[in-house]
Amino acid sequence: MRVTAALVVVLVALSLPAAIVNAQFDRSNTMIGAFDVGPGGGPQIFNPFQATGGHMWLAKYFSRLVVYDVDFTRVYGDLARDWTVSEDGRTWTFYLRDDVKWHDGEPFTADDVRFTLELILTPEFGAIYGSQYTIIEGAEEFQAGEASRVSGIEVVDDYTLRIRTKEAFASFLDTLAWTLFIVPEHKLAGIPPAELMQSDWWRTEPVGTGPFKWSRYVPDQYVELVRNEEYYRGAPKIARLINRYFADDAAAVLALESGDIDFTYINADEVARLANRPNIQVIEGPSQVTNYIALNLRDPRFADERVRQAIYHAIDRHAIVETLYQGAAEVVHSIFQNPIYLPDDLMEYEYDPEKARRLLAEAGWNSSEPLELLTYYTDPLSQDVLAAIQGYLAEVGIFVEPRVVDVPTYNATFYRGDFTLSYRGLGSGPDPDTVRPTYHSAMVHPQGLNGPGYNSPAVDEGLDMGRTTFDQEKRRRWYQQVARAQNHEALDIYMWASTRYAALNKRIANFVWTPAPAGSRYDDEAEKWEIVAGL
Amino acid sequence: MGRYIVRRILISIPTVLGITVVVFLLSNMIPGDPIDYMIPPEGGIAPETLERLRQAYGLDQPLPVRYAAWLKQALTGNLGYRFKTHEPVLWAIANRFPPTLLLIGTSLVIGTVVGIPLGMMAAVRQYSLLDHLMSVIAFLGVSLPAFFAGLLAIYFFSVKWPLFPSGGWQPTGAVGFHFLDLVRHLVLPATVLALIHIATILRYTRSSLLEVLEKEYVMTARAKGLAERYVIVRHALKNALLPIITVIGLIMPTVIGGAVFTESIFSWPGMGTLFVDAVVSRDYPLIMGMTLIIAIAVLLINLAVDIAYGFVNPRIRYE
Repeated sequence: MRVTAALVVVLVALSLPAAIVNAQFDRSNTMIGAFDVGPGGGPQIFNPFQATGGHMWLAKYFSRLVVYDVDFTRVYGDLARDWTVSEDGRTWTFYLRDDVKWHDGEPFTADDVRFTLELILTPEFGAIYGSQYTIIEGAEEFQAGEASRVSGIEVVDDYTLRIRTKEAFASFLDTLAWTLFIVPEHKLAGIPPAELMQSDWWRTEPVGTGPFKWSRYVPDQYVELVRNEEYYRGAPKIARLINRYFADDAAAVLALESGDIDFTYINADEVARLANRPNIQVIEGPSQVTNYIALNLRDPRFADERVRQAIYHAIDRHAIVETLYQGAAEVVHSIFQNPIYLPDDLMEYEYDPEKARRLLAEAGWNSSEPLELLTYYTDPLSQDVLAAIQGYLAEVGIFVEPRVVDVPTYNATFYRGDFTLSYRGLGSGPDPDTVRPTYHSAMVHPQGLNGPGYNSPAVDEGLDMGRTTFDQEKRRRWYQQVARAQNHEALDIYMWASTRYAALNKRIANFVWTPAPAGSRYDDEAEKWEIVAGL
Repeated sequence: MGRYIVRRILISIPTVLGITVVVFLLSNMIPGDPIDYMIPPEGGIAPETLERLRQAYGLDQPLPVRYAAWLKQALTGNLGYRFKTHEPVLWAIANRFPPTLLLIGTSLVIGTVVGIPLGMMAAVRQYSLLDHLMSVIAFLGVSLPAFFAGLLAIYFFSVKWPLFPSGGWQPTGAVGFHFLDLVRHLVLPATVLALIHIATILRYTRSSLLEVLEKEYVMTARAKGLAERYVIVRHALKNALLPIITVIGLIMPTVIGGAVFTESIFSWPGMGTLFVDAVVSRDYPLIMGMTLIIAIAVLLINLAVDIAYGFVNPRIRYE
């Protein structure tokens, strides 16, 4: 009994307020965020060329040549101060800033850009986005080992770089803004690319040109950056920036509420509760992700157009948006959301279960076989949405059974075409060429991400022509052709694009955030973030 | 005794090998591989390079070849590199081991020190108010899911009444290591886990002691006129301990393997958090490395428990 009593005393003593504890460090100029929570995150992956998420965090210490503004309406220079493109659309000349220093004090030059591009193209380095740059002239010879340099990359002088592509590529700037984090030649040139892929440099002492400098990494806990006083756009106002890791999203929200962190991504069902808290600001933005039901087009059951139209007419998309999403989503009629790519003659496929039943009857639909509806969405809202879809389809005699799996399982199943129906999402912007690997008929596995076997000549033509057309008006019309074909042929069932959310402690000012796919390629002006109040 | 231990260890070697084979096969049977983990389902990247990556990681080799390569490497003490972060597997495990040992060890000590006396009290005063209260506590402790209990604890003790940090094991961004900070971070997760251990140990102590209290030698002891306290502690409890040691022995492996849910909720940088990460990212070298080390540890613990039986009950002898 004495032992228990002693234990009680110890426990009570420990719960004494935090004041008695010594190491409460000064948070007055430190921002702590859960920057890798949510669909755009990529926790604890520090090699930017192996990271398919978490770009927001990587952009805090690495920089790119060009970036989008936060609304994704225009591209402007970051490390590149300006650029020109030749008449034939194949030669790009980038004029780089001459006032940029690496975090170790070395000057940044055009050779660093050339080095980074060649590194990405080196097969042994295993850069995930490597294939995006094979459009550069001489890239294939370089990859095959026939050339030691990529002939299409020319360093004109320290601050001028010329890149020549094999064909005109209108989305080149978008690609650069997305995946080209520039890394220092003077630090990495001595490491063989195969070793560099595995190197601990990325998580122990990375050197970039971004607004913050690497300080330290505590595995499974956090990464700490400190302000780069020499940052070329002006020294950041925040002295320390910390990215905390959470194995569980719900724990991140609680940490925000307790004041332990200043920022986290949140699910839509948390919005109402957090919006009422006086010290928390909820930020919202378009997900840029279109949700749709993909049909396995190799399956003869979906060969009849009437079956696909029936699925459209069976689901009340507007009701789901209004009741489940509480209006925080918009019904879409093609993969694109950006109105400039949408023609006027899109069909609505309004909710009409009677018509759906009639279409199915005409097509001779067999109701006895249940269909599997595959998804990787595990959040509560998506579960409700799936249940609603299941209910609507059952009304007209299509019986689906949702199957929720984790991302690797999903990828192994979907891209190989090993599914029947899939409720999924696809980033559809900012540049419309983003959807090409998913929709072009030449991109069927293993060439690309076209898991359903999508094959539409009108879509193929629009995607091919849009990719090489620089004239904005003509380009717009090619993508309108894609949207029209997608809508009229109904090879996919387009549902909606939702709003996504994050929450911020109000002590942080000038904070810029939007829920972009993979977390970035926009300019979040981190050097201007500021802490304006105590905790 | 010495020879017994050596023999047990020798017998364990094929067991460990068998476990690694089974885990290797199972982890490769889960759909998706580390490369699939890299593709974001919502991003439109062309996977032309993915097959090349599979080659770079050796994933294009047949399973037996890959297992043999892993085993050969492991026998030299090299567990390879993580696919996800490329850090050495051994280094990753060594880093997560102390936090897990501390968290689970603390909760197990609390569970034992609190659970056994409570179980004894419940047994001695069977069907009393106290006994019923203990039953309720045991029921809650066993049936409340650890992640839910963890979320409740954070909600009440770091959001509503901010007494303790909401997660982690050292203050974020603090330099150096401070013992008091560690203790503050430890309180919530250790208490949540301890509740589960208390519940389990309490139940076993109660039923085991009740059984022993009916035995004739207890009656004899009482008939001799010994004090009740002496009867229970010296005669009854000693004999009731055997099943309790078994239960503690069953909990012991989590001291090495970690507590998946509690660690995840509290962002505790331990083995449980690491193992979830390993499985989610299909990090085969890490899955294999953790399996090997946990398997060896569990077999050693089992051996230790068997030896402990001998001390508690001299009738159990090992030759």
